[in-house]
Amino acid sequence: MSLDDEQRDIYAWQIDVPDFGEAGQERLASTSILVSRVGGLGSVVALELAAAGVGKLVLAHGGNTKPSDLNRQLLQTYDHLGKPRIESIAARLHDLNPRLEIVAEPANASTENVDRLVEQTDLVVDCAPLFEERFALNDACVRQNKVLVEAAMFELQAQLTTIRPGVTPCLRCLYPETPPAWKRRFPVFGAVSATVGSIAAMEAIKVAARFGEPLFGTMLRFDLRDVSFHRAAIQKRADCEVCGA
Amino acid sequence: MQVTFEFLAQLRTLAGTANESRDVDASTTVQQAVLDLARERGGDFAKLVLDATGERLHPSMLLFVGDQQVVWDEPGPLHDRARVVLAPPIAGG
Ligand SMILES: [Zn+2]
Repeated sequence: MSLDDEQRDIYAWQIDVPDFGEAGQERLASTSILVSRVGGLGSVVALELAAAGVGKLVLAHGGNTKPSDLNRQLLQTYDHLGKPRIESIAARLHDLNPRLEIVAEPANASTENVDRLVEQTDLVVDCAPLFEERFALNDACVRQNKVLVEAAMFELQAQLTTIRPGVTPCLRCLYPETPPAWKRRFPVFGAVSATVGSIAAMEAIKVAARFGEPLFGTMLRFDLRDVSFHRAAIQKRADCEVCGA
Repeated sequence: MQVTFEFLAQLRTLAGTANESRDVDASTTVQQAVLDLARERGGDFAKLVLDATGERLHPSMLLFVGDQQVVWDEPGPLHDRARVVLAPPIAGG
């Protein structure tokens, strides 16, 4: 897909990135990405991907906008309270990028819909709050051999890794069973979810445009309380039920 | 020798501190150091760190020494001033 003059104009500042260039922009324009849950994390992922000129976003998010969304779900607005979140998400992304193709799924990812959602895309960004959803996405990405960017947060802390099935550890290598201690509601600031979301979006852009060094087999963790960042190598589990031999 | 444990996320809340330095024998493995720490702290801290047998790391807990993840059944040597990180599972939203 070659760029037209308007696209060259809009994306001029990032086309100047030396190992990205016009070829990278063309790759983004022909890429389809699933962002599963478009809440605190996913709203920023989707916004950055829309701004970067990704061709198509498949967005999965159920429910109506609540007051407690507004500290971090940056595609929701006060005047949208009580209305379906996915409508505000799609409208605000189209305000930014009217060429963006959006498939809006008004439901969260589950074992029922996940294969259909992943099938439509080249890669996936996991922004789900529940491990059941995360495992459904991970398992579908392994089945369909799609890269999965994993982003997670708690309080002022966060962690990210990028999974390439068959090469890196998968999510079930890290967490073989549903963690009993994880609670749906957890403490967090919007500035934390936005930081994690921006890094996750950059991971997706690098994978889609094939440049840079994504976090393959590496976990990045950071703590904005003292602004410390660490990288660590993570391991495949030989007996992983999902990606093991 | 001295090792420093770092507690992340919910474990930090339960521990009431971000880290704890301890003196251990030079031959101590990371597995033994984690068991000793969890058993001494006990309660909800031990419940999050150890599995139901109390003999192994909980399968949902990630363990790192420095910049390497340590899998429970593989050798886990420690060195003086090692940083041992215990990371409970977190998600998004
Ligand atoms: Zn695996």
